[in-house]
Amino acid sequence: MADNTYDVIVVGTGAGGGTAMKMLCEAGLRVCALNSGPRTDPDKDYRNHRQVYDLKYRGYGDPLRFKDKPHQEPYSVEESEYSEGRDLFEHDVAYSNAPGTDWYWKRCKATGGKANFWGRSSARFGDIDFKAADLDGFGENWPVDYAEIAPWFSKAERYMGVASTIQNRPSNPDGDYLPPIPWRCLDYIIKKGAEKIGVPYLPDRCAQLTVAHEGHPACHYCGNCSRGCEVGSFFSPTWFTIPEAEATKNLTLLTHALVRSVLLDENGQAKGVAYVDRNAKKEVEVYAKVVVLAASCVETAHIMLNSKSRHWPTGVANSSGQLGRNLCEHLYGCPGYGYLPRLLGQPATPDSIADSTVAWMPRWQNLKNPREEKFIRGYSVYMGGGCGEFPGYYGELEGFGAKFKRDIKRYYPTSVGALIQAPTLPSPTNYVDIDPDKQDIFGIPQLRFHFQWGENELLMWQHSKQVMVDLFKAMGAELWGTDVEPNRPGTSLHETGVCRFGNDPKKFVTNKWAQTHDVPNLYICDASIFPNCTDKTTTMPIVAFTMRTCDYMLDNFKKGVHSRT
Amino acid sequence: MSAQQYRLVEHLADMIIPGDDTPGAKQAGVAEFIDFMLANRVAVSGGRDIRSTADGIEAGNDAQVRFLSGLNWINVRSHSEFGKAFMDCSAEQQNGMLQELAYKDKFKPNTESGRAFFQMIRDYTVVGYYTTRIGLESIGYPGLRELWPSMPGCSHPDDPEHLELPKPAM
Repeated sequence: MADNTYDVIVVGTGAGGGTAMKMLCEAGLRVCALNSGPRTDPDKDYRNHRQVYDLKYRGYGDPLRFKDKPHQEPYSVEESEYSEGRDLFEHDVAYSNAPGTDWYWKRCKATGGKANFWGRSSARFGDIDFKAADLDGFGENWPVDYAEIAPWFSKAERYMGVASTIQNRPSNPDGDYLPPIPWRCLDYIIKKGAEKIGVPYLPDRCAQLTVAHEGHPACHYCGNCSRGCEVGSFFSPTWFTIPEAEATKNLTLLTHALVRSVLLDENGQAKGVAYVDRNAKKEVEVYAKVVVLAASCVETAHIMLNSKSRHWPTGVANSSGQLGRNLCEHLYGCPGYGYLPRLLGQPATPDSIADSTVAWMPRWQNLKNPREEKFIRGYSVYMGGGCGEFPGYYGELEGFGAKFKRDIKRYYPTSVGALIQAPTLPSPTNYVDIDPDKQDIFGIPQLRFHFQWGENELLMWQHSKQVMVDLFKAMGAELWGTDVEPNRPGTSLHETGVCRFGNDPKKFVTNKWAQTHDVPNLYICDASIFPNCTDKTTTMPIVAFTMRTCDYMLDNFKKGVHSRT
Repeated sequence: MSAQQYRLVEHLADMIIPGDDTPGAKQAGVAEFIDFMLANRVAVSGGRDIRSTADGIEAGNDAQVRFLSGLNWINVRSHSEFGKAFMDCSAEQQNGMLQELAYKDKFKPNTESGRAFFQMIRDYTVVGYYTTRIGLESIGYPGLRELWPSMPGCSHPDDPEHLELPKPAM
């Protein structure tokens, strides 16, 4: 057996790829995992106990830090001055936006990917999502139902550690939970207000360890989760799946390995991948019996679209023509922010030390009747506020001098704001393809986005603004304002679609096990298989569906559908 | 920035956030921060969409130019109002001039560029002050600690609506 031939290749080491390599290695398979950037080193890369005054530019960053890079746009929250000088985010590989599209594609190339810095909300999808097409007549049902996937949600939750409570709601079924994060003053006030207008306000499903869990320590509430946890008190591949896969000695982890295409044999089946060794600047091939793509949704489609052969003139496993289609995303934006006058002048409280949406408003629209609103499906809202790292509300306060300074302190505990999470519906005009004219610095044809907000999600956006007017009134708060426009598409990092799963090979890229219909030894373990994004976040479901896919794949190895090397 | 300009910035910043029971902008080194950020062309306000190094540098250059001409505007104004440089005016005169730039009901005609400059130096001052230990301690930012043994949560479990809170000290 040649050194560069493995049982399985896994492309990507984030929520999906990390979980896949752990399961496959633990089952005894020889796995080669490829990661496009460096290995994440928590001690050096997160640096999360530094204070803002330790930073040269106080968090704004050196304006020349991306000079000469092909992609110079900074990636907001996830990429901050705290990790400056570390090569964690993708700035060397450019992408394209079609005219009229303004997609913001944030990419973490270090091992563990965006799951090093994720928001940790981990609600289950339910039949209200899987069978939404039956309820409202739009689109396609998922090829799985809740009864089938629920045990995998349990496995994922028990593995990751998710804090919440039992809530009995159809839009986000209950799971196996650690004790919830205690509520802050503002959470109780929001809940009382929400009750008055008939909106739920409940503990979020938060993958943050409120107690020690499976060898991982309990959270120490330093408050800087979005810069990465340096002790591993929330699920991330860096602290969970990657070290467990490595402990088996069955893993070969290649870093700085940017995969450009899936290699195909004379029958059009996968035989490996071609990648660019970014350090050596050379093209390399590795081979395996099975290839798993988990490159983060649209990048998975990018690799497949660039994998052409006699059998697959438009990209591997694309006989349906659906590869790259049905790109979905969460519309994000602030539908209301303001302050709670009753908290004026109260002592500062440690509201940000869990750095989390402690509680949220899980979808409450269209539950009893799928057509009770002007829009179909529904959205969720996260609420934040209280004493944070910076008095960002100062712009609402007039003047200068001693009173201005006193006001900044008086208002400190009072601020409150909302974030809408509204799913887009699949649309024929929202998709990715290959830019015919542009190649990145490695000569790889660039991915191009085509995306516009649709009417349904914009109706949700308008609806949420009215809800905030009502909520602020009901909780005795003053509204300062709202975002005029939603955030740019891509902001939420919750892209789904582009390799939808479903039973009909003419309409879907993969079957219900995330195995491509056309190429049985090519699997997908990321959110690209999800036909839509629901009102919930994707990370925990990615872990759950990956566990299920790998279980099926391992069974195929046992049955001889796939052979070992 | 010239030494003279620096002193003016230091003075204006300390007028915006003065010392009281906690130190003000001067002691927190805000003028040095503003000088550093302007010299390195880092804009902290203006709501510009920064999508490239060139965008950032353009915003930073623009901030530099507008800031320096704003300082000049302040002295031109003090000369036309009181016949002397801003730093030579009395505390009352200085305060009056800033009030006309800071409070809507005191705005004077033809002072738009002065008002825009005031907003700008106020932004730099607030950012410069509340990103120092002094500034964060002045509002009691609890996150200066590296760890908490537990998440304390709300301490008013009997009053979920928080309608019976103790009267604030200020």
